[in-house]
Amino acid sequence: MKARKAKEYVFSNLLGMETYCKNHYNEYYSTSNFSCNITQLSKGELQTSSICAPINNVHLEIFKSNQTLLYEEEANQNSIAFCWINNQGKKPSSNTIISGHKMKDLSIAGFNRLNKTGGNTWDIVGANTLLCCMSLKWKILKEKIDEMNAYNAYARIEECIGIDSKSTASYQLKNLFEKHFTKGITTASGFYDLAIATLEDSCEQQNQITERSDSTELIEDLVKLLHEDRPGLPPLTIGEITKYLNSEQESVGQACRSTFNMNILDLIKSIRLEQVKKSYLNPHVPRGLKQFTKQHNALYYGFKNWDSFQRLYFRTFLESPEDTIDKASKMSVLVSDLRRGSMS
Amino acid sequence: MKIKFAYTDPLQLSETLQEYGQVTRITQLESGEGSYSMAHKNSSSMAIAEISASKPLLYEGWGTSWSVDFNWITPMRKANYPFGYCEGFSMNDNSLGGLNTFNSKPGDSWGKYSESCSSTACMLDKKILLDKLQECKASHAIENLNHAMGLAIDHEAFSQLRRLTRRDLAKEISNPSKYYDLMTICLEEGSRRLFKKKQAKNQRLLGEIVDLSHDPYKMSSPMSLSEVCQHLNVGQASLYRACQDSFGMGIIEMMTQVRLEEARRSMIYHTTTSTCDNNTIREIAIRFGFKHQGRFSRRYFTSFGELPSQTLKRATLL
Repeated sequence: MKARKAKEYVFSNLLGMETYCKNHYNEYYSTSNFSCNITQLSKGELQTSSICAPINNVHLEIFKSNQTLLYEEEANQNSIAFCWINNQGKKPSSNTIISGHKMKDLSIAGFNRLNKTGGNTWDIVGANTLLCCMSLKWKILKEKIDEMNAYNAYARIEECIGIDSKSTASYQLKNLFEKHFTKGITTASGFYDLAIATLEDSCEQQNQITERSDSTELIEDLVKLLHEDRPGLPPLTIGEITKYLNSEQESVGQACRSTFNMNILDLIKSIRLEQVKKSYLNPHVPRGLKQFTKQHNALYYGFKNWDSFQRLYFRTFLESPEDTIDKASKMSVLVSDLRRGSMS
Repeated sequence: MKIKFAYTDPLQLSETLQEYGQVTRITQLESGEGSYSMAHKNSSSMAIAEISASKPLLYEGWGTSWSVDFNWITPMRKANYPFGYCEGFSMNDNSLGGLNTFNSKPGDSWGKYSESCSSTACMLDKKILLDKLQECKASHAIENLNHAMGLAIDHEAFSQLRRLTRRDLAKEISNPSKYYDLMTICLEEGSRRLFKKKQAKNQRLLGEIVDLSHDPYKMSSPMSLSEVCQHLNVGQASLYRACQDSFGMGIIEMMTQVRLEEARRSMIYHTTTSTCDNNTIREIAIRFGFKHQGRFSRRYFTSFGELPSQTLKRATLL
């Protein structure tokens, strides 16, 4: 059996990328109801590239963006993610954090995409960082865990968000992933076995581990809350946010600064600015109507002063709201088939 | 025809069982909307009940002061052995469980049954049963009742007892003494399973897991995995093996599921005494260890197929 061709998807806006992720994921897990939110956290024009090379029961992807992005998605009961970075020996220009685990060369994280306690999952993907993502089906992984009596691995999945692992299995897993993108692997079992071995081995070694805790849940909930649409209601105030999170303003502010390197107000602004931009990019609303309602859209997301909103918008995206609306009608996704060996 | 009552919530099963003195908390161990049915009859000195469910159920707090609560299962479809656990005793189609309720404190027992079988409870008066066993000089039966958790019974009397129960669930309990006679034979003829030391330890561990999961003082501040291991004095691999084998899920997920079920119970009872609003959901979520209402609602929806606000609304209408 021949390995399927890998495809590269290049996006210049995040609405297109979200739509692609939704369609792609729904096709992969036919019964899921997937949705995600992506926000650009750094300033400048955006270009992302996503190389996908799925095989049966394993989804494999290499992702890269020229801007730092915040990615948020609802946790689910179908799949579990194993993500790591590949800086190819270079020092990254910004940090990558997967669900609260600060990513280093040895890190593997993202296990909490699997919904055990009702959370969601979020990542910060640093600019120009190569992020490798492997998504396994939970049903199959669980069956294999039972077969192998790998109950330490099961425990890791329930308690842990990420690990820094020096185990042989984790090296082998990363190598197999790389081999797939250069030569093409056709069977899934190696990925499952090595994922289990990585988790199982990590229990016997001294590892840096991020466990689920009140502080990881606080950030998860904050990110989720900031993305929630409140139809017909004004955006949440900081006081309301802390009340919803059952926390103190000080704790939320501190958690925000240490994770996102920005204060809560700046994080809120970034997310809402992105939401306004997505409303301008909406392909289902005619261009004229978008021009007519552009100030109302900004107001809906809490930007009361149009002039200062325009300035902030331009500083962030290097284009005006009008430019975005004009571009929306010419939106396109660049999709290309890739030859094995040309991807590394 | 057997009269079965169809329920939409395990809470309703609990309420019916309460009529027989069983203060049991029932948790559905699999996500999604479930359906449940129960047939039950009682007479002055005994009661019988048969429960079937579309999802596996965990019963905690089983046992009364007046009765020995015998249990058996009836397979409804082909499934992997065992069909369930009665106080850690794995249940097959010739198993009789619940013997420990003779000596244990009321509400100290637990059971877990799969959706592939129905479970039957036969509650016999402790004093009458003991008198009967002594009158018959059934020393083996008394020994079993005092020391066995469950028995394997291949004697015809067990089949007769099952047939009688089925018939009486459809009509009325016409002759309670017949139950005492047949149970005497079952207890006398049943054989105990020999357990290895490890299996006995496992049975104790399962009981401790169920107890800990239902401990009301631990619910508002859920324990981490390492705290659970420390509390139960067990390694994480052994804990996960026991949990996965017996409950089909990891310990954290199981404890979360029990807390959700408790929160659901609390919401349904709350609406009978006061009006419901957003603060009610928030307070209940926090009481059961869910600090953020949104997270609670999402997890709740995954488990029960409805939002907390919908449960409150439905309960108010009921």
